[in-house]
Amino acid sequence: MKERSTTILTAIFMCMVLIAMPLEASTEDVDVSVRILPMIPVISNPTLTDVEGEAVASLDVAKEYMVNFELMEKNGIEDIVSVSVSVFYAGSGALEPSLPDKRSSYQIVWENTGGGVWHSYPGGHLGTNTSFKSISKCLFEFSFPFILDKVSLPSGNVNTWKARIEVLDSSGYTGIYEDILFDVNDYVEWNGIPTQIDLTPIDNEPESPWVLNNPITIQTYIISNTEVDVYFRADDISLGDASIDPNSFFTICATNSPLGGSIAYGYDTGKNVPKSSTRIYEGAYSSGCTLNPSVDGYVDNDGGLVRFVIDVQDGKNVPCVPGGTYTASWYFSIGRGEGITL
Amino acid sequence: MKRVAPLIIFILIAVLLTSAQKIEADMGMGISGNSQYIEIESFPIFEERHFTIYNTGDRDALYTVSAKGKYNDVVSWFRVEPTLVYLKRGEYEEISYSIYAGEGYAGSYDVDLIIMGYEDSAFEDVQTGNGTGPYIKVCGSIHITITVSEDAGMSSLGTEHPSTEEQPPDRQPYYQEVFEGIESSGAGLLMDNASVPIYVDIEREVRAGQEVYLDAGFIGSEGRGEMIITLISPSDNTYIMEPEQSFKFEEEGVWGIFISVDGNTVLGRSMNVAPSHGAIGKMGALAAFTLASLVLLPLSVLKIKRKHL
Repeated sequence: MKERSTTILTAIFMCMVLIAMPLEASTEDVDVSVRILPMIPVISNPTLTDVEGEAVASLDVAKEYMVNFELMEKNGIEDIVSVSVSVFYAGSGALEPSLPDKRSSYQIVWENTGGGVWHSYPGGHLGTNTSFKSISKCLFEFSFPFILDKVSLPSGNVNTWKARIEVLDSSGYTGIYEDILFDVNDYVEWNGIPTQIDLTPIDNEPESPWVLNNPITIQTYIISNTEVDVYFRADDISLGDASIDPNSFFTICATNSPLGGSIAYGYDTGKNVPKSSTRIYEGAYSSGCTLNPSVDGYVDNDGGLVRFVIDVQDGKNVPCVPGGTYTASWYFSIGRGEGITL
Repeated sequence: MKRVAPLIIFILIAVLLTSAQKIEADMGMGISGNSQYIEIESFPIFEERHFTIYNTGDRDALYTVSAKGKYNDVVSWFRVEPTLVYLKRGEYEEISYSIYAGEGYAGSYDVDLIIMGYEDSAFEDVQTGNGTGPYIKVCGSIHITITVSEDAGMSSLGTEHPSTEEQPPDRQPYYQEVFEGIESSGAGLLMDNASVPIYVDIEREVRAGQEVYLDAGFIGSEGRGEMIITLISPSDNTYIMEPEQSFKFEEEGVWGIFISVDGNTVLGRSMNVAPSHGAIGKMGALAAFTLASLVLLPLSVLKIKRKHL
């Protein structure tokens, strides 16, 4: 009985071994390989919009805009090395981007590392609405936000800016799209406007010498992407029917020479304050408007100082007028210069 | 690339005082936009444009936009939206304007869109001791030149525009009336000198649903005229009020308050309408009343105080 059982168990074991072995024994190893060629990335549906998604063709400085597009990469997103959008002044359309600078050339870059890293060149001009989405394994959607600096070159009536999209994959293939054209508007800003100008109280008697304790200094700062002129006008200082003609008592002097501009004749040393709007600075910062910031002498027209000094004319006596508080309006104005931008 | 006309002009109205009052504020304004040159070869025409106002100062501010030109019928072609905006420091807003001309005369016409800024600082810091305080405005403009061809004029109203005296008064738009104190010159935009001492006693912080007494008027007997208070809600609804009336501020957010005298806007300020959560306690009401200070504000901008003359 024991021998029979041993035989049966042996038979079962052999059957199990035979069941387990035949497939392996009857299969041959085959090397299988598929060669997938690197594919050129393809850019489609490019748009230039504001942050609300509205298409734009004329851009303001210091506002966020976005270059949006779809990217077809049949090798998958892993094959993409970087995506960049160059935003640059193209003149009549043929200019190439210069090295990144805030006057005329920006680059926004998405590097495919660590889930995607965003940069702007120069720094500080990347918007907040960066976006990368996978539509499918091969189709992706990008939004490249950028903010132009306040000194960005205005395109005017005949010139243009461009946005160029460039994609680089691991095989060195590139996809390029560069037919996004747009304008940049003029921009003028004036800051540091004085909140108060102190005239020395007139304590001395009429017909005695009139002297200010300190000359009145007015110092403001201009930011502009184009050249500017600066004007001044002084109205009569009056109280009821009594008035003081400022032209007969005060002088105005322009005490600094803004880059590229000039001080109108006589105002560098001081002239009687004008009673009609008169240009004091002419073409200020015109060389700051040079296209290529690498040009020797280029200075951003950013925070350009304009300084006036108002004083009492030498030898003038306090006028003989009724006592009281005299009021008037004096005007400082800046406007776009008449010279060329470039 | 050559352009002829000044594009954007700012006007500082400086304050000269003999007193030692000192206001710490940095006023500023930025404007992005281009001069426009529009040629009309035939009527009607419709054009749309835009520009952007930036508050570059270090105070919140109210801004108004108006159209100004020699001929009322040409100015009436313009529509601006919005005409009043409130911008916190660093903010900007796009202003749209359209030009619709159904008919007109041949000729070349200049129109300026005038932007005026009114900073809250003028109200926060002004001294009330002597009944006067410094006040500075800042202005900018966008210049538009419209040329109507001879053929277009001939097939419409004529080839020569009537003189300004013959203009129909009903063609003048509201926003020009508001700013009729502003005049244009060859070099820029100049504001008429005006001196109207007024007081304003309106709370700066109220609760939604709270009824507020709009207390404003003239100091003394000088400078009397028609005073109008314009209230702009956060959603840009406009309410025209007369002084010494009550108004219930229902909408939460920052409201703009403009006061004009005889059509000249002389000041602007803001009011914050906070969410309502029940009746304000007695202490809160008392505090609000105490904080509502009398503000004396001359529009005049240069003052010389004579001690001895």
